[in-house]
Amino acid sequence: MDSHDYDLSKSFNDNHLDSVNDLDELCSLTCKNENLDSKIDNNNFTKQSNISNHNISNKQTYPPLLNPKEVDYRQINPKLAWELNLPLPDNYKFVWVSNGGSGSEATMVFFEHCHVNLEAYWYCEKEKYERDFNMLISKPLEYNIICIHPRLVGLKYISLLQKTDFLYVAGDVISRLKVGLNHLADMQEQIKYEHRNPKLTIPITYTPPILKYSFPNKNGLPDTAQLNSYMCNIYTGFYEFLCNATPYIKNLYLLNADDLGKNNAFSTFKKLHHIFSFPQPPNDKKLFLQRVNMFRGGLCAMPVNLHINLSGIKSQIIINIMPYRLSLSLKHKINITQHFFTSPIFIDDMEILLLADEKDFRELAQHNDTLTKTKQYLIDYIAALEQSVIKTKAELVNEIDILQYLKTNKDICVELMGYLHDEIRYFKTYCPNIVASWKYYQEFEKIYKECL
Amino acid sequence: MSLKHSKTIEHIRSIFKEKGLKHAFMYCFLSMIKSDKMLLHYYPRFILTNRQYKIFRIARKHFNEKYKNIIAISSLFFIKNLKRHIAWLEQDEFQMQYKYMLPLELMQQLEMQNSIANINKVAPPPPC
Repeated sequence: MDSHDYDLSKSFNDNHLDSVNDLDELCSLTCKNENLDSKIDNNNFTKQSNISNHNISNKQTYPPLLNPKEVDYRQINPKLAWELNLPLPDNYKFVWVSNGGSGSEATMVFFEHCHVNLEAYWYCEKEKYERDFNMLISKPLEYNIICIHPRLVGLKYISLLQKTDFLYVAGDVISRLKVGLNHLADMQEQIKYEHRNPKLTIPITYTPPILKYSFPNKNGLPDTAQLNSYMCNIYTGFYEFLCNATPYIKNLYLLNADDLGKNNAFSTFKKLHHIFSFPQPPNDKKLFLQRVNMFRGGLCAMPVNLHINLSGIKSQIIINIMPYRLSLSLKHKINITQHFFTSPIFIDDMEILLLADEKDFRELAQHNDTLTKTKQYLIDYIAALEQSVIKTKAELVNEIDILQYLKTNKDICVELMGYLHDEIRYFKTYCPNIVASWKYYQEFEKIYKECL
Repeated sequence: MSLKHSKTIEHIRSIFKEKGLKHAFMYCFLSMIKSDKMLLHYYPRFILTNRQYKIFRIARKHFNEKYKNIIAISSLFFIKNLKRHIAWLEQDEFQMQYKYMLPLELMQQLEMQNSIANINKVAPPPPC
């Protein structure tokens, strides 16, 4: 890929490296320069090289009880490996640090699209270690990465990593808190079999699952009044993590959460592919243009299978209703949306597809009566789905609500700034463009100053 | 409470009555092996040399919780790997990387051994 795709010339000039014409060359130069310890800003895509000037003192706190070079990792139970302080197997390419609330769901989906294996970040450190250990052992020849939450992994987990590249997506802290306040609780109990497997009935009997939030008020809805110390803590903490992890960081890549917005996500992943050489380059632009998170209204029950009984046929015909991203794993099915709807279905910035086996659909097409009923059902179903999403969106808190709440609650305002102080100072020093783009944080800063 | 009325003895007796001596013996043996007291206090004394045992006793002060957790997960693993563990603690590579976190007592023990080894190299014992 040509370097002009990245418009790096400004960065080169800033760093007095005018002669460099390629990102790889730039990376190699920065890596070779032991004293560089500076930033390379490329449209908010920031890399810090050789930030590790500290000695690896953390590692000495958790010494392995057996010589890692003599241990056969394939023969060892991950629980034992954790107790033995064995470093994780080293077949991972980089570490992605995620707070949640900064496009993390989308990033996971995009990584999956690029054939990158990872274990989700929301486990406590012991379980995370065991999951990562199993993944790395069971996929020795695949492209694996480690994905961690800065607050959920402690010093021990960090000390069991090798020195490698780190990637962090820095989102506006107020938006992160918004995601926390709107976070859904475990939906396994709420989503019933009937939600995922409706049957063709006229009139439609569909009711979307009742959403349960992680931090609800007494009416069961998200509320800014639930903003507490725990939430301020869990959605911050990158700087503390960075202090602990510095000896293990070869290069730190910082992305702005805006880089994962629908207009930028595709090009951002092309850049990441250029740096990290994913097994598959991002090639499906449509995937990157759509919203990924399905936790709104009836969307959270997707994929849905509509069961249709045809007279004279023993088995049922199934129409799969799902967002575009889930349809990518069903390549053997055909898209039949255009047979029921005149234009593509978009709900919450997500294209919803109707899929079926080609043979099944031909069978259905021969039963005119059932086909008409199916069409009416699907029209009603999609309308009900859309309504459920609209209703959910109206329930959610937004950044303005949070700022209003902080304005009237000095204590939590001061506490939040306490958590953020070092992180903001770090970002202002090394990547001021990122902080400048956090418009809600800028407002929060003003509110904080008024508080004092 | 007398030994006669102990629940454990009653349980062993019931195994003896139902399944015979062999099963009762195996039950006692496995219970002993699984107990961290047995494995941390008596087992090392039998299988380690005096020098290794001294290191183990000091290391136990530092890693006691770890040892107990390992025994809880797999006592067999502990039995199989105890010697390897002590050998690793004695290795130069371990001492170079981790000596700062080790208890001073253990470091002194290890350093003393190294110095004895060095003295032996410089001045071997006279021939008989």
